[in-house]
Amino acid sequence: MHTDADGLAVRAAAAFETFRDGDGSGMTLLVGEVTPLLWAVARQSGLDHQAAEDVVQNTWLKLVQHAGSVDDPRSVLKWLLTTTRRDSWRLRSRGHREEPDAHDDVREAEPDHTAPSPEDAVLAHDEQRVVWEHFHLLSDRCQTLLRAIAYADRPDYAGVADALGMPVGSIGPTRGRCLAKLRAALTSDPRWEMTS
Amino acid sequence: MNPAPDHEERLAGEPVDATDVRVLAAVRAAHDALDPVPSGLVERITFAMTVASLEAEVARIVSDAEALTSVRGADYDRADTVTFASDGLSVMVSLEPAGPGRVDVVGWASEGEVDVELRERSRTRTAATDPDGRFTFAGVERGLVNFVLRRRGRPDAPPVITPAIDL
Repeated sequence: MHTDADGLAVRAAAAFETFRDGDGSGMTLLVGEVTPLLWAVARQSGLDHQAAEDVVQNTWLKLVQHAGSVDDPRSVLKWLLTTTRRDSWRLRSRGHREEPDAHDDVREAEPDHTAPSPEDAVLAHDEQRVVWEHFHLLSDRCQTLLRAIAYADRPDYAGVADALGMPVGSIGPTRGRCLAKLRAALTSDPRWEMTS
Repeated sequence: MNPAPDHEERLAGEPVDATDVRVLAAVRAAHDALDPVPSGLVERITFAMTVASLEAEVARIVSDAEALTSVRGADYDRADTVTFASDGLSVMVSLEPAGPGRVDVVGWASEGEVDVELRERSRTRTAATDPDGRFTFAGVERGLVNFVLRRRGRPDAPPVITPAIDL
């Protein structure tokens, strides 16, 4: 049995292998574990709720369609991340957000739950509120990297950063600039110390 | 307010420590609270993946499924049934409480010679219909399940999958 210490990529590889051998049960657990990471990537790409849902679901369906052509199961997590990232950008560059009327899907009519601004965020914990505030002062790239990393295990940090197109050394094994920036901002904020 | 860049530079080169883990946990918790994965998305994805990987036909629910989901309530004395249909094959499924958190599933297919697969969250089991088209699964854990039906005499025909129902 694989654990957190192995990281998501290793667990994804094991689940994918059993799936290719015809046993879908491991895949169900994997979808539950990896979808929050893919959701983070799609949303950080600027997609609205419905578009992010479509991209994430299509990423998994593409994995089913291309199951035979993935040579190394250990690359499955990276494959999922790059597919989500690429398709999110493609959808966005097609101007999806400018043309809501182009989609007659009734779900489009629902209000979009974009992430609230720091001022509007209602968070139960002071710690989360302070972090949310400083997180949104980071560059888009850093926000994307750190939000994704937050949904991965430590052994996956470097691989996730790589799949997101970040340079080597962005994170893992060392902290990297994005995390260093957020940490420095937090540790110089007296409210952060009070929450510990 | 802004720390000196060389301070950040030094921090960036250090290994990830317990404070970083705490920061990342808070980043995750804040996003879980403010921009979570939509409810039901994971279930929709796994269903779509199953349909795609089996190249299955999706059955539709032809009788009211509400009665079935309401079995979670205290009203255990009613027989709860749901009927699915797809391309000439229909299946009625009936539930009977079988102890805490479990139900017995009794079903009838409109024809015999059908293999029925019950897909629970983390396991799968199969039963074959008897000549009358009857099949049973005893002691099924409550939760979302699908049925996959395969006609034994027609190995080339696509299997039929039912939408997920909440036992």
